[in-house]
Amino acid sequence: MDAVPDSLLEQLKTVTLCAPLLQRALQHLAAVVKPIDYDDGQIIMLEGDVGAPVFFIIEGTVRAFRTNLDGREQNLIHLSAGEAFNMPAAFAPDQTAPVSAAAVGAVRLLCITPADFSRIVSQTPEIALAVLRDFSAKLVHLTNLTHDLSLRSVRGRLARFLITQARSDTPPHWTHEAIAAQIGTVREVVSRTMRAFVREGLIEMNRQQVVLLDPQALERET
Amino acid sequence: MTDWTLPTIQLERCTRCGLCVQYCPTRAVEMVSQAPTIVRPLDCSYCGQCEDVCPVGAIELIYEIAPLNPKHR
Repeated sequence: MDAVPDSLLEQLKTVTLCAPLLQRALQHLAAVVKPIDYDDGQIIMLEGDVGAPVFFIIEGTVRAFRTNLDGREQNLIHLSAGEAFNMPAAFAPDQTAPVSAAAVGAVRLLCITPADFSRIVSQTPEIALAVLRDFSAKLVHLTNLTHDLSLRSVRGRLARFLITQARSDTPPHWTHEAIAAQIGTVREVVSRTMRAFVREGLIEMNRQQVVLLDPQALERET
Repeated sequence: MTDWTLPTIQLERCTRCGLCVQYCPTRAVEMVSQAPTIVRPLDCSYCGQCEDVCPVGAIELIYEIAPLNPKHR
């Protein structure tokens, strides 16, 4: 086996799935992964792609989303450093990529072919268990998302989104279009609903800033 | 002033329909060389009218959602 750079081994150790691996197994894995970098907004994988690799996120955030024929997007999940995605490709080889993925900010990934990943999972019970944990967490996340999109009103979804963002320690910046992709509606409806919230005294929109004036009332909307 | 204090206009999406110029309540935006341009940035009140009327989503206003007061968290 060729020597692999230490930096690659160090990067692999930051991936949650690889944490249980011993040094020798890590070296085997490092020999078959390839680093790849993306700039903000670049597409990593397109829905329908055949044979797309499994990706490990080393740096940055990846947005997974579906798109309809009009170009409207629905964000499904944001994944951060240490996470893996497109793992189903290793276990359902006939299945095309179910989602598109794009870089949010600068992103560094390691990619591995589905066949190599499948082989490593079958040889390493600790990784197999970590994959199951990851699949379980994503199943719960997507079940909750399905509930939100099908059983909550747009007002409820927007109120919940605003509260969640206002509770986060590092609130990112949002456009109405990005909010729409997050909560499953269109830009115009987000604008209209935000204006309704302003009229009702639930929020205030200063220049560039949305301030939640009545978080309890917003909670009741969710 | 940060670099996102004004609406951003994505000219590659813009169809040059002129609705943003027509509806801007402070006349902050005008067509310059057939492209909508915020010519009076200090007059822009960030009201979002231009974003609302743009039929192709070429204009975006960026917001930060202010963190909740700790007693509401």
